[in-house]
Amino acid sequence: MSHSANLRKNNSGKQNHNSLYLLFNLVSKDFKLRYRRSILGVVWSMLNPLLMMIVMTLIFTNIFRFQFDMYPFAVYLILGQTLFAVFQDGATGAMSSIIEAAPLIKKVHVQKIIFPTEKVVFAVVNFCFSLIAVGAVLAFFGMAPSWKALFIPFLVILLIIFTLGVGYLVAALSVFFRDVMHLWGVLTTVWFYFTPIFWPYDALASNGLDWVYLLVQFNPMYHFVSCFRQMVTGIPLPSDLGVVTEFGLCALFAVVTFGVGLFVFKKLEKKFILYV
Amino acid sequence: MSETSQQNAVVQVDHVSMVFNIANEKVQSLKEYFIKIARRELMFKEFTAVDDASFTVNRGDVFGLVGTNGSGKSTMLKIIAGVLEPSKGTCTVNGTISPLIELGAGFDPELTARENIYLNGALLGHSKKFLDEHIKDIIDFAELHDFMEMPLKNYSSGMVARIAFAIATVTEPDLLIVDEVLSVGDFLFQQKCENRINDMIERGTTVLIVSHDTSQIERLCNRALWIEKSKLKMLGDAKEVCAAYREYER
Repeated sequence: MSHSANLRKNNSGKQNHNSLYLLFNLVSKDFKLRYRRSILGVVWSMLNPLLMMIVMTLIFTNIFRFQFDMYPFAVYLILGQTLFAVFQDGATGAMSSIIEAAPLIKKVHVQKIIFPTEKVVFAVVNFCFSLIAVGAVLAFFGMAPSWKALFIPFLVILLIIFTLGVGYLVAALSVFFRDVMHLWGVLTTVWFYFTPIFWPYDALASNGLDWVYLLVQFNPMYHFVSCFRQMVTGIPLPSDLGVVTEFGLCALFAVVTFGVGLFVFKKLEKKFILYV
Repeated sequence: MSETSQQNAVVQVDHVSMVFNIANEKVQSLKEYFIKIARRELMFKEFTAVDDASFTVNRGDVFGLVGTNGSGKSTMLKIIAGVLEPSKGTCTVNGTISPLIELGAGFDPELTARENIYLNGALLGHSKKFLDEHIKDIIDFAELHDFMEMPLKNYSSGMVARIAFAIATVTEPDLLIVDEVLSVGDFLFQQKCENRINDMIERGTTVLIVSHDTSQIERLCNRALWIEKSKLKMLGDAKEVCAAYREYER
């Protein structure tokens, strides 16, 4: 409609530039609020995955006695965990972002897509800090990252695109049906268990559960996590498609999901204000 | 419409209607939604907030909007501000808008005033450079030098309004939208706000004001529009419209 078409024509270049600045401001706000009044502050971004890793390593090596002898189980665990956290935190934050920004959306003309995007960027910033924890764990076990680790930024970009896609989708849907928010908690838990984060890959193969194996292949996070582990350690995994194939699959999932998410979001965003 | 008046128009509202669907019962769960679809029960009651409104605000106008509660003033403002999209008709705005609709919408109570100024400024579309250059003006105008590093939750509502007004008016927009905000703050600050608006008017900013205070509209505006029960009731000289509105109120 001709409304803000005029507005955007006037300062479209400036607008884009300032959207970035707004994004930066929103991320820094989230960051400040998360660590305000905590003594350790940003250190928690590193400490959290580390503590989780220690707890889970203790449980799975001592109580469940998982057999994993390619490299330390702790390394295996923290790699899966930190990468999955980007997706989980990003998409979960994005989901409620529109509803949280309701007072704003009702009063100021802003690009609504900036809110879910910001949550995903925030999750990635946290991931960057948790990479320090990953580095510490690698060093502790005397492992060096392989040269393939140079490609991690590309994988993370794909993961951002994928998470944005899912985030846009759930953000838009949760505006109309708050059920999505309740369902999402269950869904991410299922998703977590369906991703090889704490269970080793041969758990799939040795049980002869072919249909599970097939099903898992359709889980984008399976490929992201596998790809990430191989890029960091350089050690191929048992049920391995090859790191290049995995990367290609990640790209495919990312682009398709992003397309669907963006399409749905753009289609519905005009009605947000009536429902938030 | 002739060429010149086209160019002079800052806001052009052309047969705008805004219809809301009020679901008979608010459906907010998937299950309910599908059950209702299946039973073909998803009935919507329509509510027309603005009914076929057409008017033009020209460059340099100080335009007042009056009307009793719930007659569609705020909806009209939101359409002009670009927050709502009209169901029918078009609304064209030529130039930049600075909305003063409910001050401090983007404020976060946990952040300090300074942080909020940057956040809110970014939301209004300002760049970092611009804000760095103008932060002093903003603080000066709000007169809250000593409280800049204090979280906003410890501010009184008047202090919040001061900051919000200072940020929103730091630029000279083509169109300034003011919605009942002049009623906050102490009388000195109210005067200061009015002075600033007057300064902007003198320099050619077009202003759109919604207020229940007809004397304020009379004082500030040259033209006014009276909306009653979603329909345009009267459009014309501010004093005449206000006089008629006061008659009606009685």
